[in-house]
Amino acid sequence: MSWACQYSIPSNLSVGGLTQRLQRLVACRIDTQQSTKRTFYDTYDWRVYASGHALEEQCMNNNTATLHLRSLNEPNAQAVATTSRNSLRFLQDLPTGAVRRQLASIIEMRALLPVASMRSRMTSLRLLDNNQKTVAYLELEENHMLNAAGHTQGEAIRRACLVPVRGYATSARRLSRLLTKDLGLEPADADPLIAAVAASGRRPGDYSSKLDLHLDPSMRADAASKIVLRRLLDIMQANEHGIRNNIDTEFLHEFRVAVRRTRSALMQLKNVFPDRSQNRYRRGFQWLQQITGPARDTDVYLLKFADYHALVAPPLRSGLAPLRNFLQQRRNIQYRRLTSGLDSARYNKLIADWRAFLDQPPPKRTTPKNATRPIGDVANERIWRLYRRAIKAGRTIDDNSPAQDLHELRKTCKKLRYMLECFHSIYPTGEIKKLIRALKQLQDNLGDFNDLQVQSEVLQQFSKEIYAKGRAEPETLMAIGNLVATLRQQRELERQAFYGRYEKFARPVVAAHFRRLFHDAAEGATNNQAP
Amino acid sequence: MKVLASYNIKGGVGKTSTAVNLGYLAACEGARVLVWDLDPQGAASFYFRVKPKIKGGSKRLLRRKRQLLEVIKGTDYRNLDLLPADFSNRHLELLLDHGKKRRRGLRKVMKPLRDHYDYVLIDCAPSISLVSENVFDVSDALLVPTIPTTLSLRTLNTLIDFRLKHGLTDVQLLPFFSMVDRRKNLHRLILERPPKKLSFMLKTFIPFASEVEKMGVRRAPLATYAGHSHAAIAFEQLWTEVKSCLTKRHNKPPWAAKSNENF
Repeated sequence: MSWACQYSIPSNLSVGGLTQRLQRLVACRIDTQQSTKRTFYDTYDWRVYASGHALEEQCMNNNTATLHLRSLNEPNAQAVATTSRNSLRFLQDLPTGAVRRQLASIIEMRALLPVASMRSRMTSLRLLDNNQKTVAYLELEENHMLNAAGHTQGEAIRRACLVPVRGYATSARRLSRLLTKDLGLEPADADPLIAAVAASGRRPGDYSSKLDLHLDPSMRADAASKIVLRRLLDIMQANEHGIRNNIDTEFLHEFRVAVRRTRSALMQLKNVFPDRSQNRYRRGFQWLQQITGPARDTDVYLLKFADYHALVAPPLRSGLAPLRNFLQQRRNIQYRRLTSGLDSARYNKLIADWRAFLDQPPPKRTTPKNATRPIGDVANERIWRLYRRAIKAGRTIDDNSPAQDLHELRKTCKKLRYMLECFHSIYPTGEIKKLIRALKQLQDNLGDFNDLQVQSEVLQQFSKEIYAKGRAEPETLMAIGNLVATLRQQRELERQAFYGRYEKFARPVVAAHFRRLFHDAAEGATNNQAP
Repeated sequence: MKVLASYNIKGGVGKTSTAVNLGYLAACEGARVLVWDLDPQGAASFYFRVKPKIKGGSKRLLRRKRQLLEVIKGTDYRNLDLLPADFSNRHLELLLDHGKKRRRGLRKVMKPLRDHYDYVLIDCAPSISLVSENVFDVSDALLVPTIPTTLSLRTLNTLIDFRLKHGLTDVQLLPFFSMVDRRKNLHRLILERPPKKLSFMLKTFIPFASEVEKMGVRRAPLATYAGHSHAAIAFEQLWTEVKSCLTKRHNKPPWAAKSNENF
């Protein structure tokens, strides 16, 4: 496309004035004129924005609203859906159609939250040809940004958006030339989303659960570890309100991932912090992981419910409804417990002390032997050791190994993954990504095996509980039985797939990669130190 | 993607208004719709105010020298596009008649549309020819507007027999009464007691109304200027009924049974 779609209208030109001048130059007609409130939606971790889209709700005077999902690079490539006002939250609340279809892979299970809003006076013009056929649209907007409190902020931003009609590119080009040459409009590239978000005091992408840190391999191990751990604490605290307000299931998930990464770092980075502190926080985060576990488990069962439904033989499917109610009730209870855990003095003290500990600058002299060593060396040692442990444990697994062995291997792989992710920035860019990709395939297999193992046991337990409460119809018990049998079959398939995945992870190319990055480098460092 | 063809061997029965109005209603629901004007007379193109012309003509399209997507024009309505007519469509028969797969020429041409549209409505020219057979091949359903008169019913019977004889049972047949004038005795009689063989006719019928004829003056779908008229409401009902028939496709079609009743 050789012409721009978005233009900013100069401050000396009003929307009315522009319309009049345009009507003198070309055949055009005012189509609609309306005032709307436009609200931009995104998930907490900006998934819509990160995928290069903006999702906007335009409220009409009656109780309806239109949803516009447009690409930030090509604003005219947009999908529209009609919905009722303020009804947006999850994917299933959206009407079926293009918007929902496109959003499905973007937002997944996350809730949509309003991120910014503005009041707009919108004028839609149609450019007509000799047959009075519309050959292009020009949308003129006068936007008043609203801040977080809902008050107008700053001056109105006036924009024009040229929407071409398919098959009439020449007319759109002509109109574009007219706008820039004759009417003095400047092409604008940023979507109104950016200005609206700025007015609400935020920045697109201001939250991410990624550990995008920049560490120097020569940094002291304790200082570098504190930077990583502080980032993990920030992530935990950022997700807290989402758990308390029960917005969606990902808040708890990300909170728990940060807790697990913290625990893993505390366990793996031996002799970096004083033993007393290390032991205390290790116990503290172990407790935190325990109290968040049951709530996450019920979340997982509910998220998987659609899959469960599909796995059960069709005539038995209706029997699963009581299981869903049971899980829903259980989830409510577990979330209440979890919230009281987060409100407890123990939690608040743990977090406050941990923050204070991390904020302390590392002491000049300290006893733990790894504290003052470069983080690069410490990380190399730990990652190399974990990798070798994983390889060794995997080699011993055969058809007769108990599920526990696979579970242990899974835990080792997880620790390895967390270490790779926490300290990826001290290695050359892209190197760690390749290793994680190789590791992920094995982890997925081990994870699925473990999940299927646990789920089949737990679902059986649930069926007993439902039966004990006297709420179980024979259909429900049969449906759960059928589901458990299917899950067990799948578990066996995963077990068979393990060998292939392990072979792939243990292949010489990957081994050489691990050795080069973590072992040879470590040896080089020791040799340098030796003389 | 569902392909619906508005088809009848006879002319002047309301094929174009069916394609245009149902296309508009589908687009209003948020579906991505293409109306393909296959009739050289170009009535659907006229209704949408689009010039009945394709650059390079139909020949280049069918020989796939030009992509179908390149010649599509946007209409004045959201989600609704038009593939305009071209005068060269009158030679379509000759263009399709080559090679072994002459009955499947359109199928290949339409392949790229699959990802872009939810519904394609083909406005066919009145005839029964190789073009029609190609249309039967690509369509999920044939919408057959039928005037409740003896000759029209006779033509419909011909179509039913043709479909069975040529084994074209993959395409669903959805005939409905159109241009029904309840002042006429014959119309009323046929409507109240349709021939047994036509028990599968859709329940909805489109009344004869001057609003529909005014589409030629307004050059717009009926619902845009007379949304509350009887005819517009009938089209809405028709669209609902057509959609429900499309979802019931797996069931054995009632017209599969052969009947010997004559008209």
